[in-house]
Formats: sequence, C-alpha cells, structure tokens
Amino acid sequence: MLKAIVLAVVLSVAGRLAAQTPTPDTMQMSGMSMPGMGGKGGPLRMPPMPPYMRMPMLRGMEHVPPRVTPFLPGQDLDSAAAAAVPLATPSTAVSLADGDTFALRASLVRRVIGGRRFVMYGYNGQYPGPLLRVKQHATIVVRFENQLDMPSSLHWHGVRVDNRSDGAPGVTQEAVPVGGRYVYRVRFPDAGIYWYHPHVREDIQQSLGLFGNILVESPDRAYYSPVNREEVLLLDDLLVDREGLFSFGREAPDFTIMGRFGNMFLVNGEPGYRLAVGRGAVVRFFLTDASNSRTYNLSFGGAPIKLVATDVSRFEREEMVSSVVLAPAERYVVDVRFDSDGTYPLTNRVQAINHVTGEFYPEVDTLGEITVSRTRVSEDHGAAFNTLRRDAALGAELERYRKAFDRPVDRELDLTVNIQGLPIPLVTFMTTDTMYFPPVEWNDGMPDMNWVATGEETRWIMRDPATGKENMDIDWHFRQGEVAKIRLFNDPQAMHPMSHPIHFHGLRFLVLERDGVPTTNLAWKDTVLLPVGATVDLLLEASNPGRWMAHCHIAEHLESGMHMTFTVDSAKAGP
Amino acid sequence: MRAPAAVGLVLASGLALARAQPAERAARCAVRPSLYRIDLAATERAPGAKGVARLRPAATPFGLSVSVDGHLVLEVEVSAEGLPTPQSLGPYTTYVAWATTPTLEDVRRLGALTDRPATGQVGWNKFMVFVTAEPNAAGERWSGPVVLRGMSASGYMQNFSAHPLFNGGVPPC
Repeated sequence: MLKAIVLAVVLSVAGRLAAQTPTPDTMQMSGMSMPGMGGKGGPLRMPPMPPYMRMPMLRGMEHVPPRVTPFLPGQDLDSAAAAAVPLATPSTAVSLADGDTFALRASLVRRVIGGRRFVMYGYNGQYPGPLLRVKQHATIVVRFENQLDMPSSLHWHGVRVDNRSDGAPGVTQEAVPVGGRYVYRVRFPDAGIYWYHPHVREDIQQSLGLFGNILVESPDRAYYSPVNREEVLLLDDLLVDREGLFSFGREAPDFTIMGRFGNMFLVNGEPGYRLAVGRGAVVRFFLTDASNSRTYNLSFGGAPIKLVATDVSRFEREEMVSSVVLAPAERYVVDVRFDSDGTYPLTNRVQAINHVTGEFYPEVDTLGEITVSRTRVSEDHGAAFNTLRRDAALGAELERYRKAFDRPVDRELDLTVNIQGLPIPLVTFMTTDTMYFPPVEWNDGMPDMNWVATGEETRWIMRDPATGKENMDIDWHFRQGEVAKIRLFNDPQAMHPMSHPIHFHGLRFLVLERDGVPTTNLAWKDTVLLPVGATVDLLLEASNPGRWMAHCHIAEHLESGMHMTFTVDSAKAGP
Repeated sequence: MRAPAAVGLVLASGLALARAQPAERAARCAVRPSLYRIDLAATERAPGAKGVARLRPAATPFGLSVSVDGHLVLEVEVSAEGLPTPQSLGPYTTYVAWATTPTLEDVRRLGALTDRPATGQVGWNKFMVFVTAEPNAAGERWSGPVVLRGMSASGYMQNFSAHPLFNGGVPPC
C-alpha cells in the first residue's frame, strides 16, 4: 500500500514539475520577491537563476521563505548613520617586519560593485583586507577592533600560530563583542600564501568581504623561480540582483544544503579582473578561494600553467596542469606564461547541473582577462618557466615522515548530514531527486530549495565511527610530536551528500591517499577537498600544542554544525 | 487516498528513517547507484554473464581530476565473468569493452577483455560502458553484439524508473 502511495506522489510531483513554466529569472534579473515577508532586512527574495537553468518553481514552494529573520549589515542604522558609512577603498599592501604591530579594524563599509551600491564589511575600510607581507619566521602583533554590528574574531588560516591567537571563539577565545578588541600575536613559520578571516558567522561576515591575504616571503631568494610579475588574487562570489544583496539569516544561516553560491564573480573584491603584461611574460598567481561554497576550475585562456605550491608548502616537484581546481579556503601558487600577444580570459569552466531536468550544462564564467601586448618583456624567464624544479628541502623533510605513511589508520571521520523539518514539497522532491550527486557541486543546481534550508533544519555532521560521537562532542587527543593517520570518508548515501573542504586549524598535513591511490606529488596542506564518495587518508603532524578546530570550510556547513575539536597535548605537560 | 495524506505518509516514513541509527538506516534505506561502480547487466546474448566497471577519479594534484572544461576525468576498469566463448556468438574472436556518451557521439575503446581487466579513461558527464563480441580487438567502433551494458550514475538523474522507489525500495534517508 505504502509503495503505491509513494509511487503516486512521485508521479504527481514529477508530472506537475514537467508542466511548469520555467521561471524567467536570470542572474541579471531580480529574484522573486515575497510580499509581506519583508522586515528590516528587506523583502525576502528567491535567488535568481542563470539562464541555462530554466528551472521550474517547485509547486508549493512559491511563498515558502527560510524560517529566519532576514539580516543585512547596517539595516538597523538610521539614515544619517547609514550615510556616514565610509566608502571602501581597494586593498593596499603592508610590509611588516618582525616585532611590528598592526591595527586591523572590522567595520561597515559602503561598496560600489559593478555600478551597484551595497553596505558590506571591510577590514581597515578596504576590500579585500590589507595584503600583509611578512618574512618567514617573523612574529607580528595584530590589534583587532570589532566595529561590526555583530561579534567577530580573526582566524589566521593555515598559519601555525600559537593556540591563543587562532581566533576560534568557544575554543581558543571568546568572540570579540561589538566595540571590543583582541590582540593576536602571529608567527609565520612557513613561506607561502595564507589568509585571514572571521570565525563568527562566516556565512555572513566572509561573504560580505571580511578576508585578506598574507604573503609570507622565504629568506631563500630562489624559493620560487624568477617571474616577471606576481599577482595575489582572492576569489569570491556575491549573491546579488538589481534589488541588492540577498539577505542572510539572523538567527541561523540559510542556504545550508549547498552553501551560498554567488552570481557575481569577484577577484580582489571587483568584477572583471584586468592585468596587462608584455609578450612572453611569466606571471605568478597566488590564488585563494574565499567563496562561501564555490569550487573553481580555473584556466587562463590556454596559456600554460605550472603548479608550484599549495596551502603550506611547495609541491615535491613542479608540474604542468591544464586548469586549477580550487576549493573554498584552499590556496595554490601557479606560474603562467603568456607567449603571444592578445587577450587571455581568466575563466571558471565547469559542468553545471540542473537537478530538475537532470542535465549538465557547460558553464563558463569569465572572471577577468589578461591583455598581452606585442612588446616583449625585457627579461625572458621562459627557460626557468620550462624547468620543472624539485623541492629538495621538502623531499628531505618528508623522508622523516615516510615510515609513517604505511601505519594503520589512527582516527576516522565520516561526513554526512541530517535534514529534518523542511517544507513537505521540498522533502518530497529531495526523496526522489536522489539518483545522482556529483562528486563536487560546481553550481547551485536547486537554488530555490537550497535557499529555504537553514541551520534549524540542516545539521551537517562529522562523525567518529569508532565512538559514534559527532561534531563538538568529538575531542581527539594527540601527543605533541606524534603523527597520526586520519581517514576521512564522505558518505555518498547521505540524504544530500556534498563535497566538503575540510580544514584543520593550527597544524599541517599530507594527503597520503585518495580512494586507495597514493599521492605521488606531496605538499603540506591545511585544507583538503573531499568529493562525494571519496576516502582520503591524511598524515597529520601534531606539532603545535593546544585545542584546535577542524571543520568544513563551506561557511553554511560550518555554521550548521560541521565542526569539531582536537587537542595536541603539550610535550612539556606531565602525564 | 488524497495527495496530502500520501505526502504525509512519505514524510513520516522519511523522518522516521532519518532518526534511525546509522546501521539501522543502512539496512532500511534505499541505496543510490554508486558514483564509482557500474554493474554491467547481461543481454540476451550472454544471459549467464556479469561484469563490473570500476571507476576512480584520475590522479591529480588537486582535490578532484577534471578537464579544462570541467568534465570529471575517470579511470575505468572493466572486468567480466561468465561470458560464453565469442565464437559461440558468431564470427568473433574476442570481447572488447567500450565507453560511449548516451548519444553515441563519442566512442572510446577501453580494450579487449583478457585475463586482465580492460582499462581506459573517460571525461564525459554521462556515459555508458558496454562489452561486445568482436572479430578483433583493433576496431575503432564496435561491430558485434552487445553482451554486457551499464550506465554511469549521472545517467540516471531524473529517470524515475531507475529510482530505488520503483524497484521495491523505500525513500533514501
């Protein structure tokens, strides 16, 4: 009997879906407003969809908003105060020496992006935050001041800081209240590209512009090959329509199934990145994905790309790649050679999915372009570009760890989700639209449903299968100096599996294996992408004492529970 | 029964399963097709045969292997058992494994099935894997009868007839 009922319901829903007229919204148009569901955050609107989606509205969901109060920054300001919010300026680079002190203030800013005006957040009134240039092994003091309209903190992503400066509220400090201050002492043991961002309501604060890079320079002048130019690019996407920003959930995050995908691509806070170089130029790009949820597949108009480094180190050996897959919070350092004059688009090329029609669509997002003049660069670094170097120092360092590569798995985490209490039409659809989930969600294939899901209904889970403990109930302990093999499994049979970029605070790790296949070109990392169905083995170096967080770096997943703690017990402490 | 009641029953069933413990859920909940395994079904030409195509993301320094235009790049390994001798089906000497897009626009020969699995790489959104009897292993297109065939999990999207619900299962959890 039940089967017959289920069948009838599925057929009914499927039939009605097929009969729908496609929603005419595009990313250039306005999202669908919901009269009477406004409030100070502005009217709730369903997110717009790109033209290729042509997705019908799920019947019964036309007037179902997320069960949260809409929130936008500055919504409580009176008109005079709103007018006084300063206009943000582009990021500036700041060189800091060992022992320097730097003030970093988070506050509301006005932004003009693509001719549209928004009230957002900024560090020191800039977008992105200032680029901090420091020498490897330097220590700086950062005096943080919170002038936002909500608590905040500063997390130094990938930097192996002292525990008290990690910026994880509830774990290493209390959140910095509105008007409050906190002093971070940050040391930089590793060269490379890092970033800082808040660790409070990342779904809101990060999305609204609170992030900046740190470029840690090695004392070895030959650490990287010579290039003609270096570019530091922070990639981000913002969800907007001509009405403005899409509101956030005040009490809990929204878009909690897929995370918030933006429809306006930003490079260093601006759409339409531009760079002009001479013919034959080799450009080093330091890439950081600061998006809430989007994984990119970047290429440079066919220009050859050499992969050099990632989160916390160079690779054992440089290699040529056709594109760069960059998940939230990951960093990659690539050298790109522009041999011929002309225009090279910086593109994100993915196979997007429309879950309603069950079809893939090639999506090409142009993030900017590099114009190459006919004039040759004065210094030709072509020979260095064509040389694929080995990192002898890293190779020697890794020798100390190789005996641990074959050790048994010490700890395991299963990644899954529990979804309860969503509107009935959405649940009905989700129980039938379950035949296929891509290894990585490159786009939001069901934005109207994703939008409705909040942290009240969605609980993303990291589960220790050995104990059954989940999320913050997990508290692993390691001894300082030990290495541990961690196995992560992204359960493909979860209600709505999705890829997860998993970040471990304060430490570094090696990705030893993916689905049983050993990694042949190692590098130290702090964030690893777990595609749906993947099993990944990490070798975690427990070198930095303290209680740390590990979590998914999709901001809405993090804010919907997907975080845990682990402790590295100091070698100095007694048993 | 009216639709709202039916929807309620489905929802209640789903919620009950969602609250169940993991092991219990695994036993009770429908299992969707694997991303990384295609069970190959036998055709009438080889009723006792069975096969499997094991899929694995190709090696990459990144979190996932995709082509420059974003197609997932997979290593495919096809093995089979229980096949009759190819000669028993006609003027054939070998079995060859293939991969193709659903529209048959692109065909890739994965190789002859010998003592070892046939292996190759594909980079398509949706694809079929199949095995044919062939006069030789060198052809660029198949010419003989199909004996085993299967579809990538991506090929089942929105195909409700393939959904576990329609194969005697219960809603996924």
